Amino acid sequence: MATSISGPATRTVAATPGSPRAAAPALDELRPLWRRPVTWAWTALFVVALVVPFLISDYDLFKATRVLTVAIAVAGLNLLIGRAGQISAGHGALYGLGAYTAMILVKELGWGWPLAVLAAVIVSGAAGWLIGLPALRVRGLNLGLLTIAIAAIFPLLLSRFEGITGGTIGLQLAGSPITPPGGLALTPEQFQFLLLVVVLAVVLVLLRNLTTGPLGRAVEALRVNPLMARSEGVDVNRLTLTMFGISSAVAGLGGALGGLVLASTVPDSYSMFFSLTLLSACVVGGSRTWAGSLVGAAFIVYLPDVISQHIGSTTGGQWSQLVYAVALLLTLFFLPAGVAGGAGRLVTRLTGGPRRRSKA
Amino acid sequence: MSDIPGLVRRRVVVALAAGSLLLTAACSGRADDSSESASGSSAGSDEPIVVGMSFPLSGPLSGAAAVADGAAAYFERVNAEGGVDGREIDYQVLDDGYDPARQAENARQLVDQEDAGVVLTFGGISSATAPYLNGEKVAHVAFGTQAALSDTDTTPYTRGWFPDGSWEGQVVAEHIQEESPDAVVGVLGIANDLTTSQVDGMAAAGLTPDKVLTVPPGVVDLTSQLNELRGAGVDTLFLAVVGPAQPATLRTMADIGYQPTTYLYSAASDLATSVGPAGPENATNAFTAQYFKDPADPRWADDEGVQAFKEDIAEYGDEANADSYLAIEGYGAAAAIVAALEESGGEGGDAFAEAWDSIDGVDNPAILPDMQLSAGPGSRLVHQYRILQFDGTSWQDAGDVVDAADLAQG
Amino acid sequence: MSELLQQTVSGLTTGLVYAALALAIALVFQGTGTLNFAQGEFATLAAFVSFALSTAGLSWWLIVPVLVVLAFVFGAGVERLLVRPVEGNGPLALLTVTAALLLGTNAVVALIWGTDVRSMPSPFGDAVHHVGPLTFTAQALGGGALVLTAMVLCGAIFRFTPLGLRLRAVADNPDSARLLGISTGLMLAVGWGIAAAVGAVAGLVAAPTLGLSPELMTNALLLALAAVTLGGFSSRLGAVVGGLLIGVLSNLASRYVPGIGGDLQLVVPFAVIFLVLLVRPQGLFGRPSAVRA
Repeated sequence: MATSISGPATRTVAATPGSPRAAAPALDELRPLWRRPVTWAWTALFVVALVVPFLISDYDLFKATRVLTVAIAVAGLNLLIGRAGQISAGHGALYGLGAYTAMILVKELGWGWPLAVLAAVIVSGAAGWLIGLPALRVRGLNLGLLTIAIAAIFPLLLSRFEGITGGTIGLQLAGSPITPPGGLALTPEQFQFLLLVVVLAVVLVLLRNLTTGPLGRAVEALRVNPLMARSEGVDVNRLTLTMFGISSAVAGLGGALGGLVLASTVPDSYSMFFSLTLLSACVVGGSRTWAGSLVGAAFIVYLPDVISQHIGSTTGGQWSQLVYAVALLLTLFFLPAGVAGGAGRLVTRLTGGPRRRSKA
Repeated sequence: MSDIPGLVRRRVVVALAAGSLLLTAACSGRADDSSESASGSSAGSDEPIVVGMSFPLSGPLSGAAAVADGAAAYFERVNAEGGVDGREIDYQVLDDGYDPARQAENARQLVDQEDAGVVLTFGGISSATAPYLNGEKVAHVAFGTQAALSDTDTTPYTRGWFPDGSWEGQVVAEHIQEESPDAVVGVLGIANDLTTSQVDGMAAAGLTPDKVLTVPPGVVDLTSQLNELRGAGVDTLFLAVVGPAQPATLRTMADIGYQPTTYLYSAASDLATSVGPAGPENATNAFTAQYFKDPADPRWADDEGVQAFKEDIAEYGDEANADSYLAIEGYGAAAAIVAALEESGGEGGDAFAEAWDSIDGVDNPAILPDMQLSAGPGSRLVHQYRILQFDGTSWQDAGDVVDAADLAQG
Repeated sequence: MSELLQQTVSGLTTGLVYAALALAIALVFQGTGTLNFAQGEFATLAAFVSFALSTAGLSWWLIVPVLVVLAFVFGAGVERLLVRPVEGNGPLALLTVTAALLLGTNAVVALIWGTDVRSMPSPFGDAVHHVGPLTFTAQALGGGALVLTAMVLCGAIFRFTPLGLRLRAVADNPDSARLLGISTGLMLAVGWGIAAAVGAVAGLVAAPTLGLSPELMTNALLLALAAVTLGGFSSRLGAVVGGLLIGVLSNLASRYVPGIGGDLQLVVPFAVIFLVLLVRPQGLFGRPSAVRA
């Protein structure tokens, strides 16, 4: 039945909004970086993000920081799904692996947080590389199933090996170790937010450069047609593993920072449901736009809260879940390229770009 | 070629839109410092006392919404009667879907934005939120049996509601040893710290179960485990599974004709969700070590506390919870919290903890007759048990009141 | 020895529920090319509907056929209204739609019937039969027979009817089927309908043993996914055999393999999947087929 796995996938390639756009970035990219409007937009966004912490409350910052940690993980997932064409339904586990690694190093071994985060990135990357091994043989939904198995088992293992992981109540610190260095007049929340803004920016720039360079062309070939990629001298196996490794390392980075900001890691945080939520963030934001990672993360973090605050009674929880499900469905119906992709298309239409059908 | 400016513009707008989403979502202005010092020092004022609650109102554990509903009903009744020393209780309920990250966020929202003086959280994940609330010196009441929530040295502002899980193991073990010293004892529980602490408690009472089997939460079909227990000759079973697994297991035991002497976990022995759905005939003669009244039990039809609960839940809460054991737990907890608030005269974290710890011999609508709340080991207010036996329609006394505070010492 | 036999029999009994759910998942996959994460919730919904029908006084002889028809209409309707719009957006979008369906159906069930567990009387009575050292409940025997009947009927539809031929044609090669004048859209909806009907029977059979609650099928769904992978997505028979194997294996492993225990019971089927996928990616019963480039 492998044919019907690759069937819809091949259709997707043709249907993604990326394909008509394919010529444009190429021309856009002929200009130097500083002359591209998109560079200016991102720069403006970055500058705004640096001002935000002085305008909003620590509570709102704390929440926005969580969006940023999740966005890092979704960016990693976007690399794998949107660029390399591989499915992972287990990135919640890798996010959790990063969080637990950093937490154990800080709490039990007394490491400084930057070193612990670095170690978490390496551990998650290595784990992702291992998970990628079966991807050499298995593709499409089978791979999705395999990774979902990892997502399902991860919290059970965390509970079982309580000697290292603290069991079902997990590991807690009295406060986040990520505090502003002496001399900086910032609250911890302000510092954490700014740190995450910088980290996310660096991650996005690195991932973007990765996918626009020669490696990017090989990755594109891998997604569109692995056989052809092989015939053109791309070492498909090595490339697949590299993509899994990088994507997982990035997810682990988000998890490590998320866990340390929260100062707590609990198995319930990294359930299979969380992995599926990350996957839906990837789809909702748009897996082929880097802005989509931010939009998707905001969607899954803010929407449940917004809904429950508007419904907010002790019997309203089921209604929030229903509304969330409907919102997810509507996004998929009306914005097949994700919110970020869809917004871009709307702008093109409004500004007189050629009309395009929303799907092939 | 006319395509290109549009496309470029499009990518620009996408990037900007992504950012403005973050900005607009964080809509409230930065709180100035004056409001932060307000909490804790407003004793004697007429300002409402803000009680923040973070509960799983959606998701797999949304059944716990009944606990919040019961607590809310009690707060409403206190308000209707004039509040705490003339101050209204302003309770706020937020959904955390049993996600520790959302509970941590909710705690920050309740403290930062709503100026909550007391924060209530549900479940074992409360230990993830405790460090923050303790750092802010906000009174924290956690609904959980975990030993970590009894650790008032590490988290001096956190108080656990419910007894410590290990005490129930101790009480059950003592009863087994008295009734049938030669019993082959099995434990069938959930793979988390609840069952671990129960088994620890049994060991503390000198009883090492011959067989301990655990399953992850959510696994309902325990036929395999029952076959194994039966195969091992277990004739006395402590059944500590929760949720749908509990009645299903009782029914399967009846189906396959496996009838050991059974002790049900206290929080999974009520008529509405446990022995009722199991079929009362399948739970007849079972024991439980209990401390709360089951509002569905006909035995309490004329009980003052249960009647007050039913009236309040019908008037202020969801009437569907009138038979809910979970709702009366929340109702009882709210009564204890109000008692501590009255004693402390306000909501300051230190004053609240001190008032809670000085509770001694206070009546409570939810606990069994002949019991009272008093601060015991780990600052738990509930530590008395009574062994009850199910007669097919109702849970009847089958022993005297046992105090875990005495057991813990000797 | 008699415990080993009893454990195997218990495993087969629970395995039948996984098998029926796995069959439903395989049917959807063969047509639409996606896993339906909501398949378990559909079954839960069906179980609640049958409970409501039985409370309304309908006899079980009526409830079963009524339920099957209702489930068929529901499944086909969901495909037409909610899944069709995202077909062609790739497997990931489809997968996300089914995840949204899972959340939505779960919430609807909880809103209508609440989250407390309810008991559902067994349609087959409470009798217990002993065969040698083994015990069988009437529910296990009757439920097993019902699931088997549903699966055999489903197999017969696919193998022996013109409708089945068209369904198989669409599953094998949608483009050629379209060229032959088969309405592929209709066939996809029919596939979802049959899947929902088979799943409904699984829910109906599981509910009296497990108790009715919104989480009735949460765990069964995971095991059914394992079963489908084990048996191979392309094989209906494989899904059924996979379900039975998973039922027996997870029972026996948690009992007899030291260090696994009930808390890691879920690990067993997934460890098996891991091995199967590495050694035989098409599943035990699947046909290897060249990946269309």
